[in-house]
Amino acid sequence: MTALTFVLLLLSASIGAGFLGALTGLGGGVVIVPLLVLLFGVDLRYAVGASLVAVIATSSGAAAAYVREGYTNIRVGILLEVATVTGAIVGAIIAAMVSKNAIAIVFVFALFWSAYATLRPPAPLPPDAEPDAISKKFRLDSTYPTKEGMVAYRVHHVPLGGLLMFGAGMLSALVGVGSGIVKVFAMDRMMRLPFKVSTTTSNFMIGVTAAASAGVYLQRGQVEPAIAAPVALGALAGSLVGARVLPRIKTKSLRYVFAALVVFAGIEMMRRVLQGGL
Amino acid sequence: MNEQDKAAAQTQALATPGTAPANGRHKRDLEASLATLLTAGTALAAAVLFLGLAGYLRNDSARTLDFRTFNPTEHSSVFSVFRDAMKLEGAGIMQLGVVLLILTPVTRVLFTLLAFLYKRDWMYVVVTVIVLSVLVFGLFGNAQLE
Repeated sequence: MTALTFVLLLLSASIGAGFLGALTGLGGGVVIVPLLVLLFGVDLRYAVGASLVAVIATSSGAAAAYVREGYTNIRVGILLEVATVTGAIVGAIIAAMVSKNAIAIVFVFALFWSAYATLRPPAPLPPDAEPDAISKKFRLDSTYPTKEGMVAYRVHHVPLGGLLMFGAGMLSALVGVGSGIVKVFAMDRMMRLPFKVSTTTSNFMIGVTAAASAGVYLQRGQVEPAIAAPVALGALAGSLVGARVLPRIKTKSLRYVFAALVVFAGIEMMRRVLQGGL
Repeated sequence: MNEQDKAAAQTQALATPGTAPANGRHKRDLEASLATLLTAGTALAAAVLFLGLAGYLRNDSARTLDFRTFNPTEHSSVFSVFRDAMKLEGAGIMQLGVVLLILTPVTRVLFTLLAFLYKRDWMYVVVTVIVLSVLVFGLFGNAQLE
């Protein structure tokens, strides 16, 4: 493929990935890696590097809006970032020690979890008003805007949340995704933050988490500019358009399309691994 | 009603526009600054990526690309990226855009650190310094493959 064809095709595909990622709330990462590996024949090591760069672009763009609107819990974000960035560095080190097939298998698991989360969004939990000692020490309890004005909430199970965040950071670095699903799961389900606060704080943390491992991959030469530049630009453009149209369209049928795509990518990736590897 | 509940109730009552407590104003200032920083960083990086990509396509569009096997790219350190970009070649400029993108969240953490220092919030100064140190290790730690 000539550079012109490669770049233009990759740019258009990444716009689609960013658009879908923004509409389903799953980010572009889960789509970008299979896209690069399965359709563009790019080595998994380059794919992970480029995907992480795109993840930083889309999350920084979206995080700006959420922070301004006052949803993001900055203290929770910073505190848990200790766990996510540490996990990311550990993940990047592990990535250098295991085979590409092992990474691909972890990725397939991440794909199936994404598909499941897309189709079955969790039912909202009632707020937990019990005070929590660690949360009090770190002053994590806060308020967030709703239609009825500012509503106060409490934060719980910080150590458990931190442990899950370490795992989220490792997964993010290993397979080149934002692992927003794991982050939202930790904050919404375990730490009992309101859902909107969980998703926006997750977004806030994703850029920092991906920056930690992207730095390591950059030094290893896994971030190839001719791949990373069109992927990051395309995904950013697609996610900005996606965020614009999101309030105006129904995403239900789109979620099925996304889940089907993700499952297909997972099966195809698994097939390649079984047929002698990537 | 314990102290924290009272505080929460107070925040709830006061948090209508115009009557926010002083603490809420600082929070909103910080939020606005962080948002501006993230937007500016992303926009700058995107502009540089775009310029680099345009330059790359102008000179190398007929080149055959094959990324099926992994060969570490030559553009692979934060310092050399700034030096390479000075040569004004497409690939070097694109990689500068990539580095600017990676530095955007890092700058955000640095800015948060300054905000906590200004508020003399020592506990969070420590927390933020830890995050920043890990990020710096990732960027400059020379963690080579094999």
